Amino acid sequence: MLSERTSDPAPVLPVELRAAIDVVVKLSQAAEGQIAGRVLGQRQLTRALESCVPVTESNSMVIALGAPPDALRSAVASTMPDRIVTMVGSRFDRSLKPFRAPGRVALPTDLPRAEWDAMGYARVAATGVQGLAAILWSMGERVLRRLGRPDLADRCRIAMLRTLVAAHPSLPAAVRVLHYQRVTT
Amino acid sequence: MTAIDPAAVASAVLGLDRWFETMRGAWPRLGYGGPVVHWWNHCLTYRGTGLDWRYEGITAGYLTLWRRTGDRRWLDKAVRAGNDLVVGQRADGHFINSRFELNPGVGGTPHEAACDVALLLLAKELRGLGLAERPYLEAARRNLEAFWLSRLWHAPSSTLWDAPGVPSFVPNKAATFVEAILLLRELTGDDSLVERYAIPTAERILAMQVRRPGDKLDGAIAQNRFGDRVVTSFFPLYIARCVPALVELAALTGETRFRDGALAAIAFIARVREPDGGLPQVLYPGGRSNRHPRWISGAGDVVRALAVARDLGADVDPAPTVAWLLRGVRPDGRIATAEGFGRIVPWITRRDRASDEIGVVGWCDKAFRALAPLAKPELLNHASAVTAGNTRPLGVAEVVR
Repeated sequence: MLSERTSDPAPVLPVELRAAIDVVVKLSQAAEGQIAGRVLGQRQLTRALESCVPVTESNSMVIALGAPPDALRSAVASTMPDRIVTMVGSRFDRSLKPFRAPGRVALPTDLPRAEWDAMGYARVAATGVQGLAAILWSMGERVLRRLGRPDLADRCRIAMLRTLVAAHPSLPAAVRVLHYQRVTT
Repeated sequence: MTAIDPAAVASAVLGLDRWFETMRGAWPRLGYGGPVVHWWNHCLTYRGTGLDWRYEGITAGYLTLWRRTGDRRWLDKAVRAGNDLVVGQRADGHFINSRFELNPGVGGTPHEAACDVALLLLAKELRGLGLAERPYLEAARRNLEAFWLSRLWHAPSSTLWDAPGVPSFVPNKAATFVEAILLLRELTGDDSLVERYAIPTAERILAMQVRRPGDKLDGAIAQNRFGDRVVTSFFPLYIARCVPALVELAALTGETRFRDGALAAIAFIARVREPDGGLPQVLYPGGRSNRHPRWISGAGDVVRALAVARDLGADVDPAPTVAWLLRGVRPDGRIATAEGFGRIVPWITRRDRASDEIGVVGWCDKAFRALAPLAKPELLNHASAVTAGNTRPLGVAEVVR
């Protein structure tokens, strides 16, 4: 059945989390424009996902959006999904904390590689969101606005928004969307 | 005025109507959906129904077609649009997914006021026909009272804030609010709305207008302000969206300052319009600008403003911008969104050039609204409205009561 839409409106997320939700949708969406999977994690993020696309409950995929490690382990152990998509933070994310608006969702880091191996999963894709380029464009916007160049500041802001998804998954990024597949039965 | 090819206009209007039908969906509610591309950001992941400013042009356009042809199918489509809004209104007065490029979410500005304009235009038409207008009037009133007047209106300064608790003001959004207020006043007979809300808001709009004869920016209206800090960006499209409200208010109150402000804004738009009828995206002080992207379908609101000003006697010709709109017509009926998304920031946004061609209901509605009054009725009567499956237009008898 389709996920129940509550009366809560979709939450307004910071741009990097919104972009990360977009990446999650792109990775998890079936051809019909729906997601079939089990969604867990922080309420703001799961609500945002369920507001973007119809979600059908299924054990074939787990989507963990900032989920505590224990909740993720438990979901994987109980459903043994074919695919897992996670949204996690990074050390880079923690270093940006002083610059974040208060109250922003804190994302746990990914489980250790050895633990994924032990559970029988291998990483097949990784996408970074809010990497160095986006941070530099954002700084450029602030500086240029202070210097009285709104024309260039606006361009920097657009460049920041268009480069939120990092150019290469190996580059530092605040948020990471990771895709795992089951490799053992 | 330069000649406009009536056959091309009628073809564009019928094409848009056909295309709008293909953009209807049922998730999360019945209504017009599809992707959104915009200056700051796009909304490509959420493609469900959006109850935002797309309803303004769709409803106004269909009502215009109905009045010009007497063909009931057009009225039915306007009613169907109104029903989308009534059914999609939440208990707190908000419309679901009203944030356009920021969808999903509620509380979009000026989007919810634009939905109110749509509802009130429909209510006005139905009242004139002796049909039930109450659900539409009440839905608009509920939204205006619960959101705009209760949460965005800052009574001590008589200012419409752009977000609850944030001392900010955005002229073009406030102008949409004024249009809604003036329609509400017309339908309810409550003249105090003009004095309490419309006039102070229009005064705030004029306060942000550049009045420096000889300056290229003379007549332009700044994009917004936070507190007393004015953001000196001047977007011709948004300035055009201020014009109808100022003109309507001038006609109602007889205060020429609003008319003069509207005419100065139009003179600015005419001055910066390019030879092909398109307009630059944004101008800044000191002669700086960013031409890209140049709106195509959204330029319908510029045509509407030019037409309003011409009716006041301004020496402006909408035809070049009508031609600009018509050059954007694509075989499936949509009008391309823009030209130049890939050139906003050289190299960085080059991959964004594909956004130019994306059909966006909330931009095409502006072309539809602008072109509907220009289409010859005899060329519209053979319209083949697509009415398949659950997109069947509701008859007036099925109006939510």
